[in-house]
Amino acid sequence: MKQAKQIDRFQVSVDYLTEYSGVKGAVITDLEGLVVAVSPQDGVDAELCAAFGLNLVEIMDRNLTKLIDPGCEFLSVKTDKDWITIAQTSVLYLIVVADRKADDLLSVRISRSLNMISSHVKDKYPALLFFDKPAEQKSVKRVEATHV
Amino acid sequence: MFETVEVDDRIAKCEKILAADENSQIFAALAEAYRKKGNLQKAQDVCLRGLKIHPDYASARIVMAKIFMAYENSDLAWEELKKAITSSGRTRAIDILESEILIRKGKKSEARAILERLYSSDPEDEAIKNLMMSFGEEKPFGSFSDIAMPDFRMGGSKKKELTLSEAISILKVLPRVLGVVAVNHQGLVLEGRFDGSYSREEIAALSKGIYDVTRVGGGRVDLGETREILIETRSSKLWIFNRESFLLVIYARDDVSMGSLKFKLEDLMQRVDQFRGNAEQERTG
Repeated sequence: MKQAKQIDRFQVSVDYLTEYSGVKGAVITDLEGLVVAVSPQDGVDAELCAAFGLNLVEIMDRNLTKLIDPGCEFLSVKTDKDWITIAQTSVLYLIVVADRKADDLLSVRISRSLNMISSHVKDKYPALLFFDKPAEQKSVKRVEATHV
Repeated sequence: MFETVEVDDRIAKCEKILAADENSQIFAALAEAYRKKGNLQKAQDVCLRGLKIHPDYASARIVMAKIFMAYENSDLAWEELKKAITSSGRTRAIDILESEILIRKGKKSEARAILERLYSSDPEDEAIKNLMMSFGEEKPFGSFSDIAMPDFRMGGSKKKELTLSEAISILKVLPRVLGVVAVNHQGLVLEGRFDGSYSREEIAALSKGIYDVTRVGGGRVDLGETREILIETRSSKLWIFNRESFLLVIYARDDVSMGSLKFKLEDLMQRVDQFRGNAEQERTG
């Protein structure tokens, strides 16, 4: 009998990002910063990305809640050489490190990848969603309309 | 030239998205870009094709109305506008376009009523000021006659240089922008304009704090000099730009069009830099 092929959809989501021109690496972490998937394997320092990204989001959240809304859903930092994006999806974080000069359309691809991660969590780990009740994911169409 | 490059860039991006997903609603932005470039036929083709898939997409109906306006066909523009209202109700953008169509149709008193209402809710709205000026010598806005209207229009090929204050005023009146503030690296507010419940000092302090955290944290992992930070929450966006001698902070609604905002921002900041350069040159003789 033919065995069903096992596909790691988290890995597919990060690989989908790193095939885009200018992307140096993509990492998925859980809410505690444990690395779930990384692409490419020998690219960015996944542990460092996770620690830096989550620390940044945590501080942002602390600052933002004082004044604006709770919850930083998407954080993008552009420096003179790099472009780092940290986005939250359901119970995971997606961290993308790209070249500063990468095309702005990368935001749309990140949004698609987030949707892939969300639907995989929903299919495979629904219990996590039950306990953490994630906010509704922004649609790719919405991201296209505002980021482009 | 600068604007043409911007529009071309926008067209290329939208085309790319549409090529990847022909059902994307990006067609409206693409049609709008072609319209701005002056390619009305292409704009119309793209918009009509997209509307076949998304007939209730109000933004596309508005673009279609603008295309018909460019063809000087006010009746068809009017029909598209009504469809947009049916799909998504009245918005400020629809009201402005309606007044423009009414002016073209010669129904100036009806247009005036709409413009007066819009003006009273936001006297700094550039589009409304321009429409009011289009009434010309008839001076229909008796109640506004004592108000000095700054000329924000960018006539001619050479763009006027701007002070930071003027640039912030223009940015603030862009759609869905809730506030703009410039803060220096010591945390002092240089200039700012804000709506509603937030003060410019609060947002400036928050943004300076966020910038410092990113700069220090980024320094530890060798990220380089922070140039731009974008934070999105469920209902808003906070955009911080490092402009060397100050931070420019834009606080906007979540649905703000970041592409157009960025184009506008780059243009305005170029003109501010030009003003500062000239002022510095005059000072040093």
